Amino acid sequence: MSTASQGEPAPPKSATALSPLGQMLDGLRPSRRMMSEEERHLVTDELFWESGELTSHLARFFVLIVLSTLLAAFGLAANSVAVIIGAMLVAPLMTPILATAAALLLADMKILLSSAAVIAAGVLMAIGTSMVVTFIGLQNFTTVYSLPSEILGRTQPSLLDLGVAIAAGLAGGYVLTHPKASSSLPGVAIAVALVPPLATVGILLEIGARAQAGGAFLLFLTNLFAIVLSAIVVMLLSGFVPAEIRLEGLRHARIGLLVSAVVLVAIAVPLTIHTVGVVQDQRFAQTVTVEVATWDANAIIENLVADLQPGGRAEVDLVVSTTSSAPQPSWKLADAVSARIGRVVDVSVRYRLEVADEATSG
Amino acid sequence: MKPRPAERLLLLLIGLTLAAAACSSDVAGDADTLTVFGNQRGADAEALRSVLTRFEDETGIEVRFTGSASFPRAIRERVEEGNPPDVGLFPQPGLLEDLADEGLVIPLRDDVAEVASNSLLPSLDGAFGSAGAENSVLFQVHVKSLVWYSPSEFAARGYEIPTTWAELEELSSRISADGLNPWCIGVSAFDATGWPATDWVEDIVLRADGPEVYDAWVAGDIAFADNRIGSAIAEFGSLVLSDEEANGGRRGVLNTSPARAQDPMLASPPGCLMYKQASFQLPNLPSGVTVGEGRDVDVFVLPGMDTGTAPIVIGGTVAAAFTDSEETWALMRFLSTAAAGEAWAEQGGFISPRTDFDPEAYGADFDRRMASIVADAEVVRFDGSDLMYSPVGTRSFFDAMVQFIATGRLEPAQETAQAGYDR
Repeated sequence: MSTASQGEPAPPKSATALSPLGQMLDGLRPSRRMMSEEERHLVTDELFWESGELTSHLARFFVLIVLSTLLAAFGLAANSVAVIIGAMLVAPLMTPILATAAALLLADMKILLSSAAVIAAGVLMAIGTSMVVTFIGLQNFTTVYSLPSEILGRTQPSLLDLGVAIAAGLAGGYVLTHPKASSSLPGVAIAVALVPPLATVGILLEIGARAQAGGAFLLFLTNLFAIVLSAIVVMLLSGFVPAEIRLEGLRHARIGLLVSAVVLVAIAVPLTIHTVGVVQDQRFAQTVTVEVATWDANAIIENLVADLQPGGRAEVDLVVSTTSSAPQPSWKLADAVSARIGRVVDVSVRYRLEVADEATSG
Repeated sequence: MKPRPAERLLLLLIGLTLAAAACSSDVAGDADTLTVFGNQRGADAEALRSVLTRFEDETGIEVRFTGSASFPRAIRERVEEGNPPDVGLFPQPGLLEDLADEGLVIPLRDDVAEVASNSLLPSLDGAFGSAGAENSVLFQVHVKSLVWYSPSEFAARGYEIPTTWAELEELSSRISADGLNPWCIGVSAFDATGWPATDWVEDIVLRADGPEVYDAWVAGDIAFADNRIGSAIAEFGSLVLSDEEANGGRRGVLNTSPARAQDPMLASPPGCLMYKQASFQLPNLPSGVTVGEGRDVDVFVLPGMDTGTAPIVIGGTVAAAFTDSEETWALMRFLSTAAAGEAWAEQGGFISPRTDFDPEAYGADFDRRMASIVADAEVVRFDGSDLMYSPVGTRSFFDAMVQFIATGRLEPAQETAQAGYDR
């Protein structure tokens, strides 16, 4: 933004109206190929709904939101990956999200706001649908611990989820700006998975598990923001932004870029904080995994929750299966882990004894 | 064909991602430190940590503390494997004395023993009975002869705090007659399941039969089969268990942790009116519950047979050395002083056994009140099961109580408890 704030006229060639990220990426471009007006229209037609067709577009959007949420909620409840993938393919959220990215780049406030509104309405409708489904049909879920793994797995977004979302966002942007690659779109939809996290939020809210619902919503936000972010990057690189907006329509573009910058910061801060926490927890989990192997060679880790808490403590919740009737005591693990990381560690271990026996009588 | 710029960037990003994923953490190793082993976990471990940090600051000696829920088993394993901690913090002086009898504990160095005995509260003389505590120093105490109750519920129903055992029995019957449960109780606690019931029996023996019988029973000279012990167990059953519904009946009692057993008492309407549990129950109260006269909950001392100062059963922690180094004795000496407890007392949850402990150092009024109960008592005895021969005190007595709660049958339970002496 610094060069932009120095005002017009633009220095030659350099991307005056680009954010620092844009400038950096711009520097990577040996050729300055621009999309033709035609190509650009092909993309925007796909994304931006004309006012004449708005009602039918919106109707289609909300029908698909409800249907995909139903699929997702039932698939989650049945712990069926196949059904959940079906829900991902039906989900219509990708269009308004990519439209948001495009509108940010084109500095089109009207489309930006309307796309954002459509996304928000879709999110609320998905969560609401899932809550209703849970209330009516999923009464057997009463506690968090009775929930299927497909639901629980969506309550703790990790760095891997962020990586998936960024890669999928790049793919989405790439497919959008390269129409010949459109056969890849279903794959993109599966990879980014927007509706299942929302359905998870609804289910968890309905059974009163607010903390876990927050985790699932964070997963949705991670996906949402990562897609917007990486779609912007790819669109920039693909010459999607017309030259006149870059070089001439400075005033206009500046608003868009300001919005873009604010959103970027708003996305980046919580995501970075969260990601740092996730990375630390993952490293900590790795450390614990290594220590478990030295602690008890017979122990097989069935479940491990390793959490570095802000106050300087660390918590380890471990479930191991073992064939030894005299398994290693938890204090030895606590001792070893604490010595490794130099913090107070609370360790809780549950042992599952694996015993086999056979007999024949005649 | 040359890749297009966008593709080139994607490849770059993929490369960066892989590179970032390949990074791994390196952690610092461990220097030579004193190791301390006890049973404290969670908040207690944190409070103990602050005590040890003060020692580290004063001496420059590093200490690592580890606490285990299965301490009695774990400490024996460590010592027998030849991997003892430098200092052990024992809630069971009896277990420590067993290890000492096997020659596995370093006897107290004279200077440390002197520091420890010079400042011990006079009321605690004889608290360890004939077992004594020659190999350890007393670091902290808990008051066990306490009944938690809700002052407002008592006032609303016209109940008064009993001052004799007969009044306690009357109050209990009256609460039952009013259609309520007098007592909450829960005994589920990992390896130590059953211990809250042993506390009941100990308090009854000390009250009904006096300190001499108590000491003889604890030393193993009076058997569990003795009528006096049998009566105490039976009295516990008829007073506490006969109407127990608050924690789900007898089976519920076996599956409720002592930390949570008071919860029905705090519900509205209350599921029970009284809960006998030690002073260390305080941090287990649900957050927001206030404690003290006229607050949400308060305590009264479990009454004696007659009016007057009731006998007090205490629990606590004694420290013993397993290595004979200057650093170990420096820590042992520190733990024998009033100053050691200050860091913990500031945070609450610590009661000092030291005469020179400044009452102003207590951060919590509750702890100050508990300290004066201990100091003012005429008869104080350490928790019997914690003093007994450890196969009895940390195993068969617990098992016997579980058996008694499950079946209600007295004699088989007495046999189970006594059988620990044959191990």
